[in-house]
Amino acid sequence: MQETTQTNHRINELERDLVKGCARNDRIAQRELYYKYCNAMFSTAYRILNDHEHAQDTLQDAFIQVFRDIRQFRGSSTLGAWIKTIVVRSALHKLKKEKRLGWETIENNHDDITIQIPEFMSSEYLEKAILSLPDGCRTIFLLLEVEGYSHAETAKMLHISIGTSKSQLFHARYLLKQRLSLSIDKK
Amino acid sequence: MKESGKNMWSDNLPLHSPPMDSWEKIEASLDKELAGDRYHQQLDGLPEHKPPISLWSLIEEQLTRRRNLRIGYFTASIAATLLLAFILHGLLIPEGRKNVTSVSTVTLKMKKNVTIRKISKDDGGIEYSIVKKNFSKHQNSQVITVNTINAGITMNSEFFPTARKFIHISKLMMKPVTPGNAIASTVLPVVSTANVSQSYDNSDTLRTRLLTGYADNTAPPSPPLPKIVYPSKGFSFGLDYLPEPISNPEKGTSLYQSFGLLAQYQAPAIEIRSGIGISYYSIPADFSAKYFSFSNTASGYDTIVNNGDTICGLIDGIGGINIYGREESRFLNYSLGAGKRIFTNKKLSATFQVGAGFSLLLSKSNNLQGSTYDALRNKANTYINNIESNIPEINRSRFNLLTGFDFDYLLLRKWSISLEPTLKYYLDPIYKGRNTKSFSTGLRTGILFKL
Repeated sequence: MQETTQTNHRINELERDLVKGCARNDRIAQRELYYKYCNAMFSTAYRILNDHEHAQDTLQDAFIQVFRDIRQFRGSSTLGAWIKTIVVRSALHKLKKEKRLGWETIENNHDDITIQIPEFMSSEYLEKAILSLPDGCRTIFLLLEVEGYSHAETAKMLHISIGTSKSQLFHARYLLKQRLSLSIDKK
Repeated sequence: MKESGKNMWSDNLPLHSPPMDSWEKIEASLDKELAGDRYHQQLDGLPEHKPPISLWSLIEEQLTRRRNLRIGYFTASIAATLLLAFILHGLLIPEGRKNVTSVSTVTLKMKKNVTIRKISKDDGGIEYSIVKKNFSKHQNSQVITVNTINAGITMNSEFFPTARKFIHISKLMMKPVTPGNAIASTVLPVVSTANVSQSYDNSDTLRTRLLTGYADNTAPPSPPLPKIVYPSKGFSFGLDYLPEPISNPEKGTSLYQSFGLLAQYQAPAIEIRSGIGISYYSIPADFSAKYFSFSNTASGYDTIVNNGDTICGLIDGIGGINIYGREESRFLNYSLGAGKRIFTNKKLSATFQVGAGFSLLLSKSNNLQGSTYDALRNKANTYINNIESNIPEINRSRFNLLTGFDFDYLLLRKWSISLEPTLKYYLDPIYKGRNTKSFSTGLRTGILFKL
């Protein structure tokens, strides 16, 4: 426990220096921050948008916003979490702008769906299966299952009810399970 | 725990066996949990993607462009202010002071009390005049009175042959302080002056008639009374306050309050106004917290989430947390407007105003007021690593068009109060991606001091 706290402190000090540099518009600090987080953030944006070019645009907009608002970062979260929030919001904004977010009416008949991922399945294949889901339920699946947001947070970000968030997650799991079962059968 | 065989209850009660499939159920449940763990491990290990290398150079370019744009905005606003100050400065200087020139006077002819003079001005203007002085002494009071009549023509070189005729009549009264030659001190002000083109009567009708050419038995018309107009030409400074109810994204309407400094130039028909100030917008907001648990073992901390306290340890861990408070934003405002006066009387004036302005976000802060949380997950040592508002991002810069009816009421000779119902149209919404109402109404109040 103590070790974890000390490590967190060290990370916070490094982050603080980076934040200070970015707030001064120090281009070296800005570049360092970008290269530190660009892969993780690009992956997040890409999975939500399912489009490389759109993910690039979103990452660009998000980092511009990060550098613009960096003075507002109070250190109440990790820098990565703060940047990720901006990236997720930018990606969702893009989805909404393109009117890609649709919510199918789903009767929640499914029981609790447990997805069993066989060990031989590669992460690339799993990602392809996730990306093949419809935009709406894929976004909810990613926010809840991959990014770790709660139903309440997801519902607020997408301006939907918690019930819709839950039913869309069930739907996403159901579809994902179907697609993974098909691939297992083929193998 | 008692030793076995000595508990009469356990020894005497019958033994029961669980159903035959109980192990299978436990095994299935364990399998399910194992599958769930594997599922989350697999999701955590999704492949990482890399953006193209050229993306950083694009971001860098945009950052430079943004900086230049910001400098451009700043320079433009300074330039607009200076331009306004320059225009007002030009309008403010009284006409008589615009061209300060030195003069040289030459006496052409002098005979008794009559002098003919030529005055040459530096700007090329020439003035010819005849000055006649008349002295009289009162026998009892010893007061010496000097009546002066100065008549002539003045020609402006720039607009020649435009010339202006004039007659100045003055009365100077002096009283000797001591008997003898010492004459000083009691100098009464000039009685009056007038242009010959205007009708004039200073009660010395004989002299006036003589000068203006009226016949002895003809009374000259009275001089026109000056028209009392408010507000007269001038420059004012003041303070103003404008509250505008603006829809917030979550909970109805909140007041967007602006406090500012005002500079205003007013002429009989027009009004030009420039203002700079600060706006404050505070809205109720819910905040979401992100957290993770270090371990499954309890540490026994109590948890209080207050303003700025983001770390907590819990016995049970938290499943959901709701933090409430206010999101507070501050803006810098600048506005420039012009107005047409549509009504005036001695005390009150009404002006129709139009203008434009912009506001820049100075700072935004979260004022956390309290929190509620549920202990749902059986995990302890929960660390809250992020608290943030669920309100959408605020637009950093917003432009607006403004119109209103400004009512000014003169309280004292130099002080007036101003009341103006306003209608604003915001070209950008206050929140990004939100179709909040573009129009807003407000009532501006202000107090002005006339220079």
